[in-house]
Amino acid sequence: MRKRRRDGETERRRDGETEGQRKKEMERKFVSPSLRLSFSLSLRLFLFSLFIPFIANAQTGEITGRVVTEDGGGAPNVNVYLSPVGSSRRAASNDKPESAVTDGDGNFKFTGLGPRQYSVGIIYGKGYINRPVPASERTAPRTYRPGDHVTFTLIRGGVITGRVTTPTGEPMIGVQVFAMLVRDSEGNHVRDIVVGGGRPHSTDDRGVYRIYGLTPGTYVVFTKGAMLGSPISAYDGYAPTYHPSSPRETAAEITVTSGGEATGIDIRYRGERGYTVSGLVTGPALVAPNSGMSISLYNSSTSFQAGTTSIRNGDSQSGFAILGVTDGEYEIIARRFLAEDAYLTSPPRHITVKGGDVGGIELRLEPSASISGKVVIEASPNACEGERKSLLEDTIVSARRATKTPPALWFLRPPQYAGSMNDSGEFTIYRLDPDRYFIIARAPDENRYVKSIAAPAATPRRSSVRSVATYDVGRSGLTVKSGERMTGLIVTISDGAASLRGKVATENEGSPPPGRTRAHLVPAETAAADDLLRYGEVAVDKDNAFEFKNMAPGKYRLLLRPPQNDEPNDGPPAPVAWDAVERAKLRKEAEAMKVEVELKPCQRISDQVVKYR
Amino acid sequence: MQKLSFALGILILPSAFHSVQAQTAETRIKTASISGRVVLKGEPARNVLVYLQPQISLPSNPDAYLRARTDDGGQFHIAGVAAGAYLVYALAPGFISSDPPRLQGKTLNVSEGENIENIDFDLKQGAVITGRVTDSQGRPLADERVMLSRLDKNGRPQSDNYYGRNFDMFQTDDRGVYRLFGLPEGRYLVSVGAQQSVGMVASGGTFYPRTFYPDATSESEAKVIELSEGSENTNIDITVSEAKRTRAVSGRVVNAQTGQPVAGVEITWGLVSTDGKYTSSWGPKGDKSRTNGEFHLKGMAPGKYAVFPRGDSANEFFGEPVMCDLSGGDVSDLEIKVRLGGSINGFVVIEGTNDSMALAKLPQLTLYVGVRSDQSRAPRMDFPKVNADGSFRISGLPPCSAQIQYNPSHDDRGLALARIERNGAPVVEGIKVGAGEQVTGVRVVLTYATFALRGEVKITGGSLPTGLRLYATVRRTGQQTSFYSGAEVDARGQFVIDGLVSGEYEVTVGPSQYFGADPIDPRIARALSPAREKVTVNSGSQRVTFVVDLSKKEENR
Repeated sequence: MRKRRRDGETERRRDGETEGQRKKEMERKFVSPSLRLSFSLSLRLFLFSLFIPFIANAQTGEITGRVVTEDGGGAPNVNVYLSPVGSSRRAASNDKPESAVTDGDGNFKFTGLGPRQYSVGIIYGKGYINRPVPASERTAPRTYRPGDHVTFTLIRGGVITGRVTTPTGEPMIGVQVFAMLVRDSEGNHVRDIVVGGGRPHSTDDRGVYRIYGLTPGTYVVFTKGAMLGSPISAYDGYAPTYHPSSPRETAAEITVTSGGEATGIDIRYRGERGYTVSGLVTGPALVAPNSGMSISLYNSSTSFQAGTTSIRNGDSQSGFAILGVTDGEYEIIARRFLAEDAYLTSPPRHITVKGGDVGGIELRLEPSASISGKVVIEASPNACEGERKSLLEDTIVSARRATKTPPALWFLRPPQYAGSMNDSGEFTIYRLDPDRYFIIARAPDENRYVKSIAAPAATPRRSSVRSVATYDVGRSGLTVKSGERMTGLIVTISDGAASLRGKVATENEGSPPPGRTRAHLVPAETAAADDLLRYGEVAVDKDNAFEFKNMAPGKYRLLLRPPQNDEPNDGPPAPVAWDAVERAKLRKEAEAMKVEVELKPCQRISDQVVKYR
Repeated sequence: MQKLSFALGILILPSAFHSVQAQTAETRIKTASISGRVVLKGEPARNVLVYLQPQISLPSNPDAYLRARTDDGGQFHIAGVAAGAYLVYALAPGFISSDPPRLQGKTLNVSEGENIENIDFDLKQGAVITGRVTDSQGRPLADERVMLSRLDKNGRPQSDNYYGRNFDMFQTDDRGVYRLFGLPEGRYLVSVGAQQSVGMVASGGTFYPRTFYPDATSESEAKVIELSEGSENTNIDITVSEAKRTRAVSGRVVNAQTGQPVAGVEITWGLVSTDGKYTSSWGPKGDKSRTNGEFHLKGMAPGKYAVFPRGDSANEFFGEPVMCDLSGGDVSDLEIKVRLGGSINGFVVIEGTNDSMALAKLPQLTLYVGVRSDQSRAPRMDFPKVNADGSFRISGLPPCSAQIQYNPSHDDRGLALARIERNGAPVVEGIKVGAGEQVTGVRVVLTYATFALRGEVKITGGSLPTGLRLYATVRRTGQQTSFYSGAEVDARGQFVIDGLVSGEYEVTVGPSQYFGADPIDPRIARALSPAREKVTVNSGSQRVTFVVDLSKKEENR
């Protein structure tokens, strides 16, 4: 540690700042006038560790923003909502989302905010929608901090309208019509199929329906003949009929543009009964007021909810039946919501419907699991210059699934679950289904990195016989079983993170690297070969630039790789390094490339150039 | 051009329903049947769907509803009906039965093996009102709620909409256009904007005051729309004037004794009566005070309000209401002083059983608590949560008298309130809570209530007007805790009130007070007033009969 300290000092002096300036800065930030003493390094260390947990959560931050229409003018009277991301539900008693309304010029402001991350969104309706982000630019959901300015752009939604008639040509009155987005405006298939329009839309006395406020894209339109507000329909049949009068496979597609109106989208209802999927829900006999069970059927390749039914709490039988199902491959799941942290779900089950009813399906409800622990900041003399977010709320701990799930099933088995954290750095990740996960933590600022993630082991492992019974989650992930409440995880965050920015140069100037090339930092030390926290992986952007942040100091090798073929469109792919076999490949390739980089604590390299071959 | 035939395409074979019924044990017991006729303007209405909806335990599977379609003669026949209480509906989209809009279904108490006939429906084609809502500059008002009031016989608008089916038609689309259809004939007012002139009127920063067709801001200036059977009234356009800014009131909640801010207290608003004192100690869901005691109520219409802690057992505190006037603008410095309230802590028990199945129902029970205090003129109502072990807690009470009631839900009438005890002694009037007093040892004793009272109301000397429904109420007489229950008198004049314990009751039959009911003819009210009987319930099925003679000129004493 002493050695490091000297290095750190040298770095700082090189950057031009003197000891005296640092002292002044620290006094300003952390020390009350009565404690103004001469600072030896050891005292500075002591003060850092002393003051980190006691820095006041000054609730004075502001997030401002504006809602505009496409022509740039302000949009008044829009409801804007703000809620803290990853906040522990047990912490604040006032956890409902804050709301504000835009003024005459479209401006809004949230005040009195503590320093943490927030999500901000708008709800407007009236045929307008929030301008969607093109899939190619979509990254992880954006969060905001006090001091940020947010802009939302309202664009006109699209309209689909037409007439629904019975098989004999009579108008169908009061039946609900749905518009389903199948491709976004760039033509990409949409995984979580959105049934557009916001509010329910049913036909009037002439059989005419009008769905408005649609996101631009390609749609199919259907009705199941169900009537809003009535438990059964005057019209026979439960299976959906798509425009013009078709099953899903031959449904006509409708292009919807912003402000455009697709008319004459008529449906001649077929009145088919479809098939019935039925069975029984079993599980622990938990009594909870006002909590029923829902059973849902999803199309395996499109995630579309093909049918759903519910069982009210207190029903003596737990049989279910979903009607109007057409031939296809489906996932069926039963769910019961008891409380924030008590959630029962059956493992998703695949069923095939072909030519007949499917019965006798038993769905066993199992309690979900949780992982909890604490984020600890390791004080070290390697504290870097610059902004230092000492508050733990800026760190988000998530559990990322280690096993691959087809993207169509992500809504049932999400690839990642975010945890919630309180002011003391204690976090819990709720509602996990049994599987193997890696724990991911995001460091609060660019000066720190995640050093280790350790979990208490059920039995001490051979390799850690000397240390306390923990094992390194960073290397192998953790497995949770149904209903398990795992506790005692420690995420250690340390000072001295380095970052590396660079550009990819091509051999022939005319041929840039293919889009979505990935850059990797592979630890050079053999001891770190299996320390997943030491591996960095980022995408090369369209300007051929890449940036690694929050890296642990050490020796690395830099490597470029072409994009994987089966990368899904939404959500970042799982890091290559997580798979042991791929990891070994990565190391071999990195060794062969021989591009070596050494990252020193707090170092910021901004001019790295790598050749793409 | 009415369509007499409701042609539909594929007819479901009745066997599809029998397969569902075959699963129930009822097929071994003699099942009942219901039949009748559906007509439209005196002619038989073909292929109309008639279905039964059980009054309790709605099935989630649509296939489980018993139904039939009318034949060429307009006749329908539903077989395999288990005994019980039902609603019978004739479902013909675009058409309505001549029953009042809120009472489209006919109630029917079905006994085992009965063959019930002549359950007839008289259909009329529904009328249409359509138009466009715009502001003074011609811009459309999209997603705006449209309100429809039907004028009663005396020309007074009945409170607001009836929703029922097609509730999404009561909203304008992106062009500001709305289309209301399937309406019964009559005289109507159509309006948009804030439903009332006080209170929380909008979630946004502005709201439109209530505006009637064509552009009237008061009912008296509104134009009446006459609907005849099947008529289409177009261009019923409404123009709103300027939007008004909503108001906000904020402030701090402080402890009356220490002056320190109090967090977690839900603050709500109430109307102020004409004499300046507020009228209620209960308000809608409001805003919880933050760690620094701050609260914010937004979206209020300009006017005078009382601001106070909501009388709700989630609050441990109670406080004096503070008046404020939002007519001129926002108010931001209100200080609400609160005190720690008293509480009632007790258990709900079921007498004579330790059955875990029965006890498992406890958290689903709704306890109703009426609180009377010197603080307010109107009682506060509370609905404390009952935990799995039967415990409950009512908190934030000012010095008061609290009366606990248990009213069985519509769906589950197996239990009734036998008595309330405090430390073993029965409580009749109410539990007295002193200032800050934590009352313990309260027991709410429920007992199995398996007796039923059956009755019949025979009408002679005339017939009741179509819009009038009757309701039978029972009240337990004697020294016990007060208890009320009742049931609607069905299409055949029969009623069943179950969930009773043995005891003495007084049964009364009177007009059913439902939303949108026409005012009752005083002559009929007089004829009904002697319909009052004392009855002792001590076995499974007690019977009582009322004879109401509509031709009587004077009340018979």
